[in-house]
Amino acid sequence: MATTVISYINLATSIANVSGSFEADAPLSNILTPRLGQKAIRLSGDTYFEVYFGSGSPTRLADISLIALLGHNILQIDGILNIDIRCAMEDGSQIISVGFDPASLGVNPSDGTFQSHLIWYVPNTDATILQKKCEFVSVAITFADVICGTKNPYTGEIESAPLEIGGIWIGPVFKPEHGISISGFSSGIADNSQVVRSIGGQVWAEPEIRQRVMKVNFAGLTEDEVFALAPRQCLQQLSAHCGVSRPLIVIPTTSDDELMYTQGAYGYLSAPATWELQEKTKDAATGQMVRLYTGALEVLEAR
Amino acid sequence: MILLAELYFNGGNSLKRVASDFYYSKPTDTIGVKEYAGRIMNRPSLRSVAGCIIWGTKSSTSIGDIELSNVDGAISEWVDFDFRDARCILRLVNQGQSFDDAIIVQVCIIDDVQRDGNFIIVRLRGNETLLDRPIQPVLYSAITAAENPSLVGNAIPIVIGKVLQAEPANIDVNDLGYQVSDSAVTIDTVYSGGSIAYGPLESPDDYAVTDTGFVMLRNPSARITADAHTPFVPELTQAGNFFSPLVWSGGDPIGWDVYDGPGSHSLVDDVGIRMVNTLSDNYPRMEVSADTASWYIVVGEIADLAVGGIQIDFGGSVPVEVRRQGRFYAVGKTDTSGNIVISALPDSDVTIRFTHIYGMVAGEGYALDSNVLASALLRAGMRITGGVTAIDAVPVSLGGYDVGIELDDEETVYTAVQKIIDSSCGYMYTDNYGIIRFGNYSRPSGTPVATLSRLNMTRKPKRVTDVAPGLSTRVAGARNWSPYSDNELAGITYPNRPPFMAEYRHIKEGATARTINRAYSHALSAPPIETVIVDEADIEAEADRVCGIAQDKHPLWDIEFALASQSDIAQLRPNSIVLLDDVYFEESNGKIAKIVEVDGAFGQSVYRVVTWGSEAP
Repeated sequence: MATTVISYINLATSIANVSGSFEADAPLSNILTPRLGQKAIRLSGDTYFEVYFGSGSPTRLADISLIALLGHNILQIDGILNIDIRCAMEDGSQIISVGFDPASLGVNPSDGTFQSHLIWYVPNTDATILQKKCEFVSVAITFADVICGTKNPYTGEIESAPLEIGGIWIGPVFKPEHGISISGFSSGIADNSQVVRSIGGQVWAEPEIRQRVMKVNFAGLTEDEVFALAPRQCLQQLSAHCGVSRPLIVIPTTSDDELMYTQGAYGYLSAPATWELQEKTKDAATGQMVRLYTGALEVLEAR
Repeated sequence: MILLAELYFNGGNSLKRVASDFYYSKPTDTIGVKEYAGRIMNRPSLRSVAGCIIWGTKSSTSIGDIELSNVDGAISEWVDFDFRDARCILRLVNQGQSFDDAIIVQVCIIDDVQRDGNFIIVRLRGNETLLDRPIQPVLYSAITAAENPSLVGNAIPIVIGKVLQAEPANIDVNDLGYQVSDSAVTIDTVYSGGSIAYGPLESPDDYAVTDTGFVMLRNPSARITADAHTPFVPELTQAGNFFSPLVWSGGDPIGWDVYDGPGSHSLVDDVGIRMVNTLSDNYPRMEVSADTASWYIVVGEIADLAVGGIQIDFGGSVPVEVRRQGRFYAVGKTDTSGNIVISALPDSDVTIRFTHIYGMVAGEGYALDSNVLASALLRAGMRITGGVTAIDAVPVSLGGYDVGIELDDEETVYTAVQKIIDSSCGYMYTDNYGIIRFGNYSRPSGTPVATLSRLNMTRKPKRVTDVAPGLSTRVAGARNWSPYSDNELAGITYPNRPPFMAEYRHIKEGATARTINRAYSHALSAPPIETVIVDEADIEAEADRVCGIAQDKHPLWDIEFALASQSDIAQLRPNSIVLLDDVYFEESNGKIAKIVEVDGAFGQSVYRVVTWGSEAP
């Protein structure tokens, strides 16, 4: 089974700081913006905040499959990093807390090389929760005793700094069964630097930011994976929702923690995603004839 | 490289920080953690040109617009801010670099803020446009023109330096009082046309000198003019940089005594001292001691003014009221109190960003061009003495000549300054700190700030020749500010009339006029360069100097080159010296040249400059 994951709906709408304080000019609410450069910077204390979903909250835990802390500068977790997903039961009277240790789910501290993000991909395996009808209330995140700063990716030198967080992402995922096709994944680096050459052949460079560019082709999307109705996720919905103006997270493979970090990217589509009907084929399980589609998207990393 | 912009709207009370990317200063920076919102979508341009009368051009600094993303509507309110002439500071910094290490690449002012679709456009201008304001905002009132009500509403005349035949204002029609300037002048000679005894060639003893002019002791039969000079040079006696918490950390401003009375005062961070007067008296007030019976010029800036204003009392002359936000000046003479008092007008809530007190000190150099330039600049509220953060203009002596100007109510500080620097073929420009500086048509000299060669030039240089369209071998000076006509001089014999009728009493040709370079032969028959130089010897010296430079043909090199660092962006301005170090520069190779034009964009790595002249280093 493929492990490609795309999340294109961010359900986080409001935030409350419970403990720890943030700089007045870099408040915690900054992490709700889609711009990772607009950061929250911790002033003091351990950090405990809660993210809310507002009206229209998802009604089943299955609708939250990816939690990501974007653009942070956490280098090492020496103490606590805990996530509680809080739900209200159908009768509204009971709150259950689903705490888990994200260290086992794909946590990659910043190493100064790529767009840093802690991503917790939550597999839909909690049968207990899945079978209950409940409504999400919040996701609570607690940090204590984390080492933050910048790390020279080549020398390993660390320069300490206060905790910075660029964004929070909590949402469902689009997870095509056949994933990315063979030879269907390519990526590279776009460089915004200015480089001029003098008539004497000297190079004068003004380094600017680098951004990853990722191209993904899907060779075998089923009709449901292209045209499903909400709240199920599909490529058409992804394309219509994101266009070129809403961000998404693309993780080519979630089978390896390091690859989640090195390949996964938060960015924007260069152009709305496209799809094309390829053929009819017999479904191995049902024996029914089904239509298969190909699809493609290109993501330019955002900052 | 991130471009940071600090915009001091509403007199500085609404400081907005934006950048080309989101940027946060560090907790260890002097400003602590501040957010610069990543809304800037472009790289504003810079084009600074040194223009002078010889080249037939005017100096100008053109700074491009800042385009800010406003898709979220969060900054739409900016168009309703008070933005006119508000400060803007542009810096360059690398991501992750400390704010304290950022390079200031331009301090300028905001001209306009516009909304254009999803963008907010902030239009910027060079600081020298602060000079484009009437030099005399103080008008004759019912009090100051009580003896000649027809003057009410007219600007009080100003004389700076040494002038000939200035026409005074008749402020007292009954007692024949005449005002020559708004501050002390020394009357050298009073003329009247016609046949009266105190005519040009007779002893002018039939008048008595007053504080700012003279009183005629008998009726004049014709138009009155006077030769006069201002006997003082400005000298900073008390500075107050209230905007800086480093200077004033919470107590009273250094050097000032503050009396709250029923009012109150406080420090507004990054802005200045706030005086709140809710009653109908003159408190709060701030005082500084001054020499009695001395003249002073107070310059300052009112940062924020909704209603009311301030009153500046010199303890003697009529207090000056300022009811306008922005730069101001006031001139006055202390009486026996010996104090200069600045107080909030009743029911005012006023924030003053700074005040500088300049004493007018008697000195021989009263008419030296630098002192006349200083006195003119003060009248635009410019600070002319202090450190980088407490100075707005640096008046320098371009020719070392004595000059003088008479100013009427249509004159701006800009035109006054232009007359003074034109007298030495000068130009003005602003440096990266926004400080207005001056230079003139002179051979390049000094230490190069950059070496230009094929190692950093991105194209081969272009050469044109300076054709000097405004060049003349003659210089006119000793201007009669109000020449007489033949009829007005009826009592004087014909041979003695010309000096009083001429527009300029002296026109001098340079000693080397006949040997100027062939490229400038048009200068031989050109109209003389008009100056406000007073002395005959100085006029001759300027003519000699100009002709001396014109002995050689001067190249203009148009060069495009890559900058090595942000520091280059900060220091490359007109009047800077560069070394031309490549055979592409032909006969200029190995020589130094003066930058007269800079053309680039903040944050871009390639600039274009035009250099003038080439001299052995």
